[in-house]
Amino acid sequence: MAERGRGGPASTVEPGTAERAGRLRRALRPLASLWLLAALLLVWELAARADPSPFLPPFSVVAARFGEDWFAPAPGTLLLSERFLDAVPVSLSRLARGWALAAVLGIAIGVLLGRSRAARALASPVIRFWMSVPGVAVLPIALQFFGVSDAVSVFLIAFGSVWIIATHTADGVAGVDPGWLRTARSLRLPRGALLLRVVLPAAAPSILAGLRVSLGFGLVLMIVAELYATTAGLGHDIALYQQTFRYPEMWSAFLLVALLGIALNGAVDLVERRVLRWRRRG
Amino acid sequence: MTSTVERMRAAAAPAALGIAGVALVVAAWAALVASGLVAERSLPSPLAVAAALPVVLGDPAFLAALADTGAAWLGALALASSAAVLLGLMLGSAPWIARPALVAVSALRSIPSTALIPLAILLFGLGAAMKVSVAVYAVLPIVLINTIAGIAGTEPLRMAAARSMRWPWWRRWLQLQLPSAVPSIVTGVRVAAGIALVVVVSAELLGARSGAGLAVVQYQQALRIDAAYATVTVIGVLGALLYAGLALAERRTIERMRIG
Amino acid sequence: MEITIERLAKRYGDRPALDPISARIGQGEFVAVVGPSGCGKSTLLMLLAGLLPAGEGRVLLDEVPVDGPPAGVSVVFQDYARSLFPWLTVRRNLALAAVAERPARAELEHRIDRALRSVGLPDTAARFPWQLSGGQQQRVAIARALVAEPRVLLMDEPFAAVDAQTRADLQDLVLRLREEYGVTIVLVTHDVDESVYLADRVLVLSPAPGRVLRDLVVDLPAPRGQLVTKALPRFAELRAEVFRLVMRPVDGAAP
Repeated sequence: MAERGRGGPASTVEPGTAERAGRLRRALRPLASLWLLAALLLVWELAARADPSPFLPPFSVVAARFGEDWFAPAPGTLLLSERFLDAVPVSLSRLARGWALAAVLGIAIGVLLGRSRAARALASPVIRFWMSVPGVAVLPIALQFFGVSDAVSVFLIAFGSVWIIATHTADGVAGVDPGWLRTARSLRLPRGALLLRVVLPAAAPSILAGLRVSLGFGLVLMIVAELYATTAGLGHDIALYQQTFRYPEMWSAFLLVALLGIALNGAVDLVERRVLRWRRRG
Repeated sequence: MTSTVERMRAAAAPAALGIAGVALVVAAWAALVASGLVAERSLPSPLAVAAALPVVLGDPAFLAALADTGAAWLGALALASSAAVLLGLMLGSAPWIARPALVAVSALRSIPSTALIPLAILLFGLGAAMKVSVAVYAVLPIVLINTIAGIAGTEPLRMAAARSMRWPWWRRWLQLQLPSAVPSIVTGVRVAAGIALVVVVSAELLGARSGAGLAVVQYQQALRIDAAYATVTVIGVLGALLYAGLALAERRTIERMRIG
Repeated sequence: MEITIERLAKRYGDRPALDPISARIGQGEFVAVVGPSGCGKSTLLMLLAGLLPAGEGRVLLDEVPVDGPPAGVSVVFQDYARSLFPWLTVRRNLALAAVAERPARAELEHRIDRALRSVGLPDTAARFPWQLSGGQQQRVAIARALVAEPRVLLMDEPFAAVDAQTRADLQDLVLRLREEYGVTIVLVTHDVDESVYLADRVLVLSPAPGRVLRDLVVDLPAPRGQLVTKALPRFAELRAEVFRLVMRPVDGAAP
């Protein structure tokens, strides 16, 4: 089947092949949209070569550096370099812990607020206030609490994400179609089943949107915390390369962070598409 | 008459609850400090922070820092928004380039803005240009994406009508596409405003010469933790007021566009 | 299960929706409620289902007053899209109807399979509602009502959102289910033909605020069928009578 999906002469004969060709075209469309990005990278390359600056090495140099810095042929390490294994797991584990904490707290708070108008009124000025404090402004204070440790990064990521998740969840829960809630009531669903089978799935589009936005925020805050006060991690590496004038390595670290961000976003996309299959009805 | 009273009562109830909520949090905070579970040098009592508020607000250095932050924030937001709207108008009216542009923009913005702060310091030093450049990088794509989305949402029938009336391109831009994109643009600017503030304060924390973010660090390092908390409180209140203002402006604009 | 309605009334704010209504619906009876739109017939059904608090009066199910959705009563709503949960498979949608009484696993599976067979959709358990047609979705909603093994089935304009052919199929399905499960049925509809064709009794409500204009016994022979029953002269007479009552201008005169 996959063979025929490539098009070719058979595609005019069989029914359904037009559809398959359409699917192929759809799969290729993102690639077709990449030309502008490629052109911009080319401009970067040419500009950096025409007017060399230590701060902006050509893209080809960065790409070569990227391969050297983060990958290694040793099979025991999954082809990853020591530098990768020293920095990435540390950073990702901070992000994962902070974000997971924010997700659990944020969804719990959001459900509480979404189910009760009074709770919403009670909490909204407080939440609005905390949302308006840039997470980073709390960083010096977090240092006072936790000292220079992992906990600072985890706290910062969680603090910066939790309000976004909570407000998105509250909006989603408050906006659940009353028809579904009435049906749930007529089925006499107990609290737990109501929450797990009806309220959370119905609010899932909004909750997932909150999780997605907060993941981007979490990444920004992870880097700040690591730039400011840690002894390992990607942000720490970037600061180190900057202070020691190793600019190609700094750029290769940028590239890695960018690719990690794209990968994480792709993962959220996959989860979203799987969880929200039901929305594509009609 | 009764309906006015009722409406006022209906509006007053959430406000009263909101004040109660704030009071509840402050009381919990005071109780936490009084219980001795956290050290006073990590978390001072609400009274101590309140007492530090006049000190902070009376400190000319802090007020200057706040003005610096505000200027960098506003400058970045204005620069990013106007550039994004112009760019968005150009890209949005040509679908063949709009998609590749969105792909390129979302790929380039995958580097978290804060990671670029060390680079911006190299390029622009420690002044306002550094803060503004990082903030522009962070928020320009947001407004751009919203502008393109808004233009893509222009009612196709109206576009067809404009074409059949042989409107020139600039007239289609000004009288049709821009107005129909305005609600989406305003939403983008509101979201961008919050993010720009985070980025500006981050940049200040990591190496600007002045700014409100730096003030928190300076108070903390001077062991005036109460003043550090007071500063955070001021920033939060200002941010909340700003947000409320922007949200109101957004609602107004969207309402007006609906009527029009 | 016998339903007793005692001087039941409801108002929304200042606006009365339902004037005091009293009626009895016997065990196994099929009663249709018709009336002009906005007359409060759906409100009446929501009150019977315990989904709205009564303003005055009360509803008794076998002498027990209703306060909140009672056990043994299932509701089928008009809008299947907002009554089935699209994120759950048909099987899980049906299983939700029995969560409150926690039957044993095997018993639950048996009931689900039986309900799906009864509505003529035995092979859809693993599908999602959005993979089915509108008429099929409404059948699933009816099957879910059956899984709770109800003794009263309340239906709020259940066939209003489907096309005419599907509607006729679903009407005959309901008649069959009534035989098979022996439930008491209250059906709210704005379709006069439907009420006369299906019900043993038709309650005709006045324009808002609704009160009972006429409690009409439908003396048509069983079993009923789309062609045979609707061709009877008596069907035409009853239909005309209900139609006249529904269309009648408000003059305050009760029959």
